[in-house]
Amino acid sequence: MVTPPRAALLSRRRALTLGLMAGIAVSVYATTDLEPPAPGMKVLGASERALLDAVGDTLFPAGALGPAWSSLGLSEEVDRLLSGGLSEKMATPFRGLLRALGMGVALSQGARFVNLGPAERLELLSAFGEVGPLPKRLAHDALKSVMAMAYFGHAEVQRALGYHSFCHDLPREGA
Amino acid sequence: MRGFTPGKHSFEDYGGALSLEVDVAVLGAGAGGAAAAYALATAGHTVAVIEEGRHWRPAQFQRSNPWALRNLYQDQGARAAMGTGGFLPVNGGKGVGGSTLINSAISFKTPASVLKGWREDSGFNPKGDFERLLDEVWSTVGVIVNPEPIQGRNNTIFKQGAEALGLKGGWLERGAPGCTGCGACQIGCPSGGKNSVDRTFLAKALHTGRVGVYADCRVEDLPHDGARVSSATGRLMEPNAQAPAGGFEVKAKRFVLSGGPIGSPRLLKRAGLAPNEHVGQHLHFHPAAGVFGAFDEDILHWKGVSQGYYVDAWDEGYLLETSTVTPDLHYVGLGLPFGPELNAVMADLRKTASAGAMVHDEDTVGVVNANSISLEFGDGDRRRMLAGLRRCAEVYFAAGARYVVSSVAGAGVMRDMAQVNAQLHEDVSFARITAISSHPMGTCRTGDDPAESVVDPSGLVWGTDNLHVADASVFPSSLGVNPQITVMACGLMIGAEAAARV
Repeated sequence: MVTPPRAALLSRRRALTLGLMAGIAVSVYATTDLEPPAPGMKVLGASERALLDAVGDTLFPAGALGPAWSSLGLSEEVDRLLSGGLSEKMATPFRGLLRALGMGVALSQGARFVNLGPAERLELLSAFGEVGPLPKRLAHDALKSVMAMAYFGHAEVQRALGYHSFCHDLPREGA
Repeated sequence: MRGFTPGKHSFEDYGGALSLEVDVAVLGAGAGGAAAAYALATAGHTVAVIEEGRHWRPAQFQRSNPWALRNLYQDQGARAAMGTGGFLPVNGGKGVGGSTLINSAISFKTPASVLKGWREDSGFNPKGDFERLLDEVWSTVGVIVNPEPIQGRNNTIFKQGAEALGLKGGWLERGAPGCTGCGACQIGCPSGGKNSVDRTFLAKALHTGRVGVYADCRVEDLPHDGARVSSATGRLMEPNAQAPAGGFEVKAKRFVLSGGPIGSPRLLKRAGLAPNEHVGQHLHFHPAAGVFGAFDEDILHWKGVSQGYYVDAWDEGYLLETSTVTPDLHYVGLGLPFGPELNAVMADLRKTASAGAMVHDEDTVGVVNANSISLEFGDGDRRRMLAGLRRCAEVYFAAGARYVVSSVAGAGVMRDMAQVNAQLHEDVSFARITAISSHPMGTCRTGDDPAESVVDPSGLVWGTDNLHVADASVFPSSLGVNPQITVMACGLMIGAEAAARV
């Protein structure tokens, strides 16, 4: 009887979990050689921006929620959040998270996330949200929160959703 | 800047250094600190209120969740308790007004059974005047039920479902007499309709002419000789970068620590003033999780009172309260995997109502450490939370919901109670629940036994001569209802005790 290779015994999702955990473990200890900011960005490097665009367009394609992520330039908004719009302290952990995601996909799928098709991307991101070890859940929730802040904070998306409170019309001062 | 001056002060006034001497320094300008400052000032003492965050005016609030997290929340909203089974974000406010800047002003008096237990078991409030103090707070905060026309459909549809089921409940009483119903309480009330303590107790304290409120000052140490604290020292915080820029020292005869249930025990430990191992222990959370009901009609949950109606399931260990959050937080709270189903539910936002179950925690164990908060979520609390979520779903179906979604990962879209009971059964693990805590408490608990508590019934830290604590950390146990009124009454009580000893 031929024993199948170990990799074949792992489902894609199980493999992603293991890859993500490995990526998270590596990222925790290797956040010193992060790439320099891409042109026009304060924090995120070119490959991080490309990964974020790919993730964003997978989560938020053009449709009932509003325009597509990349058409709104929302990776720049994430860069703004990480450079002071939300918290500078989050910049390094969030970049570590992107690195973990990139490494996790590469280790488990043998391909870069940005080179996968839309269905494969969505399957992987969906699996990311399944219950698993605490670091994976923290990473998932952090990604979901930051992506949501950027996307649902955009005026066009809020318009598409019908989100407008009269508090938005009250006078406001710069702060 | 040298010397005490009554009034409001900010980073721009300090010129890189601040040195003061007053009768009493109150460290923290939240619900407890503000009420304590008022009690001290009306007793005739000079008071410096020291606060890490800024002074705010309503028009400065930007109606943006990232902006609010950065400027109005402790640790920029990233504070969480961690355990092997999951994690629990622990919210706390920052700024003059503290957590009353970001709460919904929900007002409950301390439940009689809880107060009775505190008195009998911990010697709480030996003067027996706490009920009078609760009345004083109630009146000062201007607690009312907001009129039905501004409640909004998010609240009225929940009321409709609860009444159809015959559940006990009612309109939530709130310290927001000028509320216009814009649903923005948790990102800073932009209309000024909410009576956060900067507009009530601190305003009244400032009016005495004996109080200075010093914003942008982060307390880092309490130099002492073993029992007697001589000063509070720390860093001035440049408000835009939120980075240290200069130092300060405040000398006083007495000190009232009101840094909240996370900050107060940490400072006691850092300063070497922890009387025993109970400092930072016994952290209670009121953990809460959400249910979202989708209807055929527009709900527009952001139009109306942010939290206006509740179901009283006190005897079962939880309350159900309606809630409103910004769209990004709504998305985060939906326990669905990334993909078309999540986006379809999100596209129903305008037709979706939002509420949650808040648990009166009994068996969850939390501990505040120097740089972390540990958590062991109790099985009983987990079961109570799931029971609350099921009841919440039942309310929505009774009001005609097409489907409900919860903040339990993997539970999916549920279209009837059979699906709810199957998905939100009592064996669901805590790891699957996206929960939150907005009411930490109990980490410097009151007691009459110095071996079993952190502060005595007057709020004085055991083993010290002149350091009191006045915030939710002095609660002897979990409260079970939204705590702002109880915290303010504790502030009045402990402020008066401190005033009598200056």
